[in-house]
Amino acid sequence: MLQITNLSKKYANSDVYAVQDVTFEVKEGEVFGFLGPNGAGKSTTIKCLMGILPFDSGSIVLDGKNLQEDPIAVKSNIGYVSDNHLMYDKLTAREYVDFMADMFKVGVNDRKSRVDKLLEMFELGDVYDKSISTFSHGMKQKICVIGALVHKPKLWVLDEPLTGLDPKSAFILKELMKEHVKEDNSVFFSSHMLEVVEKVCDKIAIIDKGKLLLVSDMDKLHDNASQLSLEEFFLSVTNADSEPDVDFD
Amino acid sequence: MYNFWTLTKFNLSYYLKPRFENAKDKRKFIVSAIILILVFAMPLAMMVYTIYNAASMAIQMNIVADFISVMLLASQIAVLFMGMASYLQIMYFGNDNEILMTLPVKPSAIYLSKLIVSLFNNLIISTVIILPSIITIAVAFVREGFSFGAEYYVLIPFALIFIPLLPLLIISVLSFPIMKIVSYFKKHPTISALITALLTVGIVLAIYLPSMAMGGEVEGDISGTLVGVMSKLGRYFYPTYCFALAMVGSQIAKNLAIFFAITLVALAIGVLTSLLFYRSTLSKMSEGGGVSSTEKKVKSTEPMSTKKALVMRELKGVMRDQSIALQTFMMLIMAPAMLLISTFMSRNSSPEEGETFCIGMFELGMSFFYSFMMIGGMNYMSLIGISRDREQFSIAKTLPVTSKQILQAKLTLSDLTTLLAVILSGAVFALVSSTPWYNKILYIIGVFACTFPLNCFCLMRDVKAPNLKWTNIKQISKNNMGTLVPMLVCVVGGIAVMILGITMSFLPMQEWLMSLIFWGVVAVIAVAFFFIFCFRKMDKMVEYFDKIEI
Repeated sequence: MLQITNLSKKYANSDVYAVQDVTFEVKEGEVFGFLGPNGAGKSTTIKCLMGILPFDSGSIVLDGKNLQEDPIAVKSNIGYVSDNHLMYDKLTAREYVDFMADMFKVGVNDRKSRVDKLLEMFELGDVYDKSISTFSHGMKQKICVIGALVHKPKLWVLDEPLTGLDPKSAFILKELMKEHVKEDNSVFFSSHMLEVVEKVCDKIAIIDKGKLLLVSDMDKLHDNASQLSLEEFFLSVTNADSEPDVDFD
Repeated sequence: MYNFWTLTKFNLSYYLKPRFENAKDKRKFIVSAIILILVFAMPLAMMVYTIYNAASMAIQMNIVADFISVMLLASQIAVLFMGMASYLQIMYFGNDNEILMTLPVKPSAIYLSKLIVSLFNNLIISTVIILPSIITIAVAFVREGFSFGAEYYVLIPFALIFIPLLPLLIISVLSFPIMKIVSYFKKHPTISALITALLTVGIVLAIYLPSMAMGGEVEGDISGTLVGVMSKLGRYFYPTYCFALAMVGSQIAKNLAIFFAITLVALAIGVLTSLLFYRSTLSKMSEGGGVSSTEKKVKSTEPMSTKKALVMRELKGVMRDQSIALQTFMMLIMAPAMLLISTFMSRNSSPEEGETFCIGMFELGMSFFYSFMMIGGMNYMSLIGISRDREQFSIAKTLPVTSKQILQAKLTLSDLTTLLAVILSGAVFALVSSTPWYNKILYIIGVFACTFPLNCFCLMRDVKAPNLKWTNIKQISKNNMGTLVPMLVCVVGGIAVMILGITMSFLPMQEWLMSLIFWGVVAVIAVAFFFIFCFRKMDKMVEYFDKIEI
């Protein structure tokens, strides 16, 4: 589904690579967790994938289409939830979701059925015609999720999606991720919440200082590092100067 | 008191100090400032020349105090006209108000500290008018064989600081009822911004137009007319007249006492009003502006084409941001208002005996200049087309549309705004101008043809170096070098057309022939602007757009 190959990105005013030679693949039906400490390069990778940031080298291919060659086709198949509830906050929630639906060319019936279902799940029906600027962080996050799923994307990208969500909404979001991949779609998300990653993900990647330290199936990780929790494992990997001892893939 | 000074010091730095990320930005700022001074040097020289001639006559007619008073009054009117919008921005629409309200500072201290910021903000306007006028009058006085006393020169710095304070205090008191109405429409930011702009321009016109009407009947050449008008206007605003009398040495202590007493009373009224209303007004402004589901019927969802959806998103984003909407409405309303005033001014410009004079051409030149400047150089739809999105700009990059489509949506909205402004100005021009009908029609076409290519230029500049991390509208409007250059282009182009119109109005020629030459030159400017700013620039814009990092 998604192949990122040798992705490197250096910011215009920096000498250091924010992301260097990052390579991994997200397969159909997978929930892929992208882990790393603060400033590791997670958001930069996601922003490159979303076309927000231009990158220096490497390639991003979704469903056989290269982002640099055919950005529209790639973006048409992605739904994105940013880490800072990035949305047009001067619009009402309805206007925002309708705008996203218009951009992704979603028909009236499809958008209505999808949005109604999500609104009911998130209990947002009463505020759907209110200005987003009056919403709490959690409410903005939920509207962002609805806007990202309105076109039923093949790849759902979420940057720190669980921050600011109440337990019920966090649960719903996790269920939505599982449901999304059941239809041969994929979910790619970054998170600090290791217990969530542990429960939801089929595969994880750990990035630190712009370099990918490991990519592994969750099952394999459990087999090879059974004595460690994901948290302990994450800390051992990101604190180590060299590659982890455990052999993966 | 400590908090007040700390706050004032911080506010002065926050609002007025130019900030540079690197030495290159600083160099650009200095170069732009020099260009700005050079561009304004020409109208300033014209102003000084006219003042010198009029001052010489005023000395002969023994109305020096009236003349000085009028110069001071002109700076006060300029502050009223240009300072109102920035005052409202600083006092009420700043993003810092919510933070300031949580600080252990009295509302009157916030009010006073922001009043000082506004005063400093307007000092440049008053200085540009007062200083050259006062110096020119002194030179004329010496050339006529007289000399002013020391009080004239000693009072100059006091004039620079205290003369703009009075109009600011008037603005301050008037702003409370304006904001009361605005906060009533808080849930409808578009209506609120429109009302603010209408009231702002309406109040200034109400103060300004009667003073202009006072000088309408005077005969003679331009300088003579000016002196006649001045002698009537001189006493229009009593405290200012008192200050002028003190400057020429007439009952210095008494006149200064009157001036400062009135200023102090105005300040006291301002502070007292702020104690009563400022906090409550700020609180109301900080309340959420959402539209509740009970107030607005839910619209049925109607899919839009990509292009329409993008344009509508841009429009909604602009109209629901109080600051940007206000700037846009100010441009739409100020352009016809300035045109109205310029036409009044034209009426006061009669020819010398034996000279031919075509008032229609004169009006055309003046009006074209104002429209050019206001519409071409102040269209916030294009000037900050990218910057206004702030971090939300990232969303556009994630959409399945091309960069070109996004830029075209921004340009379409800019062009529609330009068209609306031109139509409004054209309607006012058609109503008040004495030029033939064909000039009124060509005026709309000409102004639009010259100003719409500037949208491309403005957007190109913003795409090239957007500021996506602003917190205050001033950071991307007045303190932004990116917006300054298009304004300079408009000033230069506008002055060229104005000089053409004024020069032609004195030529012994049929009006249709004058019009033909005038519109011929305008057509050349429009075509030149199109090729310089528009033609095949989209590819370059897309390239810059794709390179933006956030």
